[in-house]
Amino acid sequence: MKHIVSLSHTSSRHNFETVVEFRGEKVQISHFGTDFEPKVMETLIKRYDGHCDAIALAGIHPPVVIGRKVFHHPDTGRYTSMVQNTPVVNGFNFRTTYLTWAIRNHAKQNPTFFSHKRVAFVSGLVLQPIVDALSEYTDRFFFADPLVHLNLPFALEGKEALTKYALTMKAVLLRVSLRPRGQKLNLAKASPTLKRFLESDFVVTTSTLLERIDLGLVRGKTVLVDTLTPELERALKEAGAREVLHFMPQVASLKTEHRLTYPIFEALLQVTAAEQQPLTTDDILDFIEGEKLRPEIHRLSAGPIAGHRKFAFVIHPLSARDLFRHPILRPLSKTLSQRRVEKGVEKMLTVLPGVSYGRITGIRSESTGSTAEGHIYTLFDTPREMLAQSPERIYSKILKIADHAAAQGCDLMGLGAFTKIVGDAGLTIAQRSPIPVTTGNSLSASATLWAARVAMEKMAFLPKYKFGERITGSAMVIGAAGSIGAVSARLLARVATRLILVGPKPDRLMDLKESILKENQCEITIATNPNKLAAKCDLIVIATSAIEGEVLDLKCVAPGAVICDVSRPLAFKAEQVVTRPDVLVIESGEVELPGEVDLNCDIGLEDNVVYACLAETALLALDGRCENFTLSRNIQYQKVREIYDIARRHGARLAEIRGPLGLITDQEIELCREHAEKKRKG
Amino acid sequence: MKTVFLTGASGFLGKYLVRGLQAKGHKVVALIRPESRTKVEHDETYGGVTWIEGELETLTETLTEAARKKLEPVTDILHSAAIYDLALPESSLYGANVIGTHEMIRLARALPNLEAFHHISTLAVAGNLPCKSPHAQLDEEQFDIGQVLPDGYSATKFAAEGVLRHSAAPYAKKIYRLGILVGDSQTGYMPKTDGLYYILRFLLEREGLVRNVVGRLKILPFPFAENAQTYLIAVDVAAAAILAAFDGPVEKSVPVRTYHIVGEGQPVKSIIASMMNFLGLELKLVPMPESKLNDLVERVGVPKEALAYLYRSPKISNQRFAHEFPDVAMPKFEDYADTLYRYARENWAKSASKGDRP
Repeated sequence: MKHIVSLSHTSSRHNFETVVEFRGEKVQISHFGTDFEPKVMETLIKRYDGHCDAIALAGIHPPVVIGRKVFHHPDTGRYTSMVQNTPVVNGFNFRTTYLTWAIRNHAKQNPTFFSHKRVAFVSGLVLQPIVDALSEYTDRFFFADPLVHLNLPFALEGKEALTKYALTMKAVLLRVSLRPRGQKLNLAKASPTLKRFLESDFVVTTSTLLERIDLGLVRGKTVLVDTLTPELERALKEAGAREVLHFMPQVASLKTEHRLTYPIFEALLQVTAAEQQPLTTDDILDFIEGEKLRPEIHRLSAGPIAGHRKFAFVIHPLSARDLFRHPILRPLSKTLSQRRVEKGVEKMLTVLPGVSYGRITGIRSESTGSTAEGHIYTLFDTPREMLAQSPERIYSKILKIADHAAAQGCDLMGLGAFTKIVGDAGLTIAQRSPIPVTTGNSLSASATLWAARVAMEKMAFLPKYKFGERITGSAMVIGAAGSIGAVSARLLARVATRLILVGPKPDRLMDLKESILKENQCEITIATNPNKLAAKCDLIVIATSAIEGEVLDLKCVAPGAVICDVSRPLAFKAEQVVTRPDVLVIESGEVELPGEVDLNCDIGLEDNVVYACLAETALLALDGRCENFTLSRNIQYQKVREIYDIARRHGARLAEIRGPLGLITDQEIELCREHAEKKRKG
Repeated sequence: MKTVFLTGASGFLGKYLVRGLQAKGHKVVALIRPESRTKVEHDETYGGVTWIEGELETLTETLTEAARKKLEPVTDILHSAAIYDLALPESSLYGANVIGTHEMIRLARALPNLEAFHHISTLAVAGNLPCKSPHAQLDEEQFDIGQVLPDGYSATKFAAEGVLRHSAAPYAKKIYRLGILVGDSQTGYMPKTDGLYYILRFLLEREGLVRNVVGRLKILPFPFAENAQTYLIAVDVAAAAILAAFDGPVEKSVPVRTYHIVGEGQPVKSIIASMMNFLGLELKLVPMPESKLNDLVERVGVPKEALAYLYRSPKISNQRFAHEFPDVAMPKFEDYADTLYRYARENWAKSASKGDRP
């Protein structure tokens, strides 16, 4: 019977003797821990060198690759060269190959699992293959290497800092032993860098490293470990870890309860190989594929664990008058907001960079108890100025804000109002930003239709909507080629029998019509001018971002119609709306966030109510979905549904329906309905 | 009748085990180091033993065909070989205590008639129990409860017990965790100095001085903790208890059965007082806290590891053993303490005066 001797640097508490059947062959495995005693390791090597079929060296420092150089810990070489008469393996190749593969595999099945997450490595140098594998999904890395290896109380941020640290400290690091200290490293007295390290979403560690560090670190986190023993799982659970993802290969055919390490797998492959040649990466990949090895994830906490996240949100004044809402400019409002100087001021202020405007706090999920806090930034560009400037100029302003927000610990940035319209609607910004970006358009669309539905039901001119049936009525979408417009059109096509798409470019509308007709049986008309067809419509959604000129002539609208004005700036001014008391104009898109929301700056709304795009950013932060959720002009139907589900899950509500005159109460709707009935008769 | 493969037969406890096994009618096959052969050849205790020469650490590779033949009928392994020395580093103990046990497990796989593997462990595996809970104790059912293993001896014995516990095997496993062995309760026989014997020895070597100087004192500061307690057991009592459990029922459904071979815990204070009494001293003992000062005792021939036991208060219960074997007598330490002290005085006082240690 072949005999593998596994010698580990670590504790002798997990020694074992076993016989496994591997590839049809019985193999004895003796595993010895040496309690970090070099002399014990030497004793064991002397004892078994030449008396077994393979020696697997485990728990020794893996090589560190920096640029083109590979650094080996002196112990690794020393022990390896002590073995002279037996093939010796160290599992490094297996480990790197498997970890890279396992992470990629896990990310493939859970696409949002790693993306843009903050990852804290207890030691980045020891866990280098994971750093490299995760680099594809996030670059927000924190490393506690200085603390763990040298007891220096700070953490490193980013991969480059780690490389720099390794290069500077290599002489010292190559002499540091991984022997556990009596006392666990205390993270309570954390420096600012360590604090950010502790605020991460993931903790990546080995079980040996965890023995050296205060377990409080894992509270509420997802822990990635190489091996998971029942004791470790219990300890992590007690420490309040959210879940643990462990990579130890589980080979079903190897019936053993002992933990087989990477070196043991390598040794098994080595002793059962047909030829006595060193293993290649291909052999390892064959094995991984053949055995269908997968990382395993264990949920540790029963309920969801409340987290706290920060997000950033960028707004800008919607008109020259709004410029003076900013506390710095407010004292000047009397002198500068004169008609004559307004335009000049508007132009002049575009030279200013974005600045911090205020905070929104107290957002709390009703289901998980998670909290979120928003940093609100403002630009000084009005819509007119924003569209007049080159997109690059606006990008750079927004990216500066993103850098600042990232440094403040924000995980996500929302683009408000016209900042998401400029250029390619967030794509470029997301590409260059250090944190994920969302335009908030998914929730805007979602909330629009949510509000429209509520308003229509209250007006009660049409029969109530029943799931799966169509309502006999006409709906019009103005600006249907735009991002919210298109999704509104898609959703309305499911409930209305007739749909009118209006936009300045009929060719774009043709494409939209075709794709809608693929999924729906609905009569679709295309128009460039809404006024002719408006009289037949029960619902009109205005989703254009045209700034100049009249979008729709209110006179043409049928009595009792609901107009849903999603455009910013608004299509109708208050004085226009009062001329048609028989038409309900709502400016939907406002959402009430859950919790006791406190907004310490004026964004033109009241109480808990915020713009849907801000709400989307806040809800994503509450849900921990810090990713590029909505980008570009083509918002997706799935995303619109998904954000609606997230909103409902965390307890966000549709704010009272709003019109240009402010709140629309039920009495006002009733009054509007009476006016409309009169006009319809007469 | 069982055929028992015994290791550590030439050791302190081993001698009592051989005697007991043979008295019960079992056949003993024992492992012996070639250089120790002479030690047992002329001892009548070992009369009926079949010997196998070999080194424990390299056992599986060095067994001759003839030796394998001798081992074929073995039904029980009684693995009692280990190095017991609190002062040695882990690297000196690892070979005998850990590699040795691994080798025995590997050998056991090749024994076709094996029914049970009996392993002599020690209560040292309780280490320093995690002291967060005032009721911290190691039960017979428990093993790894996160205890800190303070010295090489406890670490290697822990690893050895662990590897046996965790190895899947077709035979039953019985583990006997022994308290601190002291001399024969009938004769006081003790071939070596360890543990509390160092203190006894220190006092005996200076008996006159101690009487003259300390005798005048009313109170004596002494390095120990007020609540410290320890578990001493006479070697003949331990061997008898082990063999009672050895012959006890084997339940195939229970993969590992552990017995604590101890009596009640003895307060350290009362043991020291009894030593003083033996020297004719009546004193009030005042505990001295554990400090760097204690390192000085090494200058007078008492290893500091021996003092460590004067500060520990592990709680050990032998519920299972007492429940299963109520007839096994566990005489109290104070009943035979004087026998031990007398043996020490008679046998060591002479050699001590010559300056060498037994």
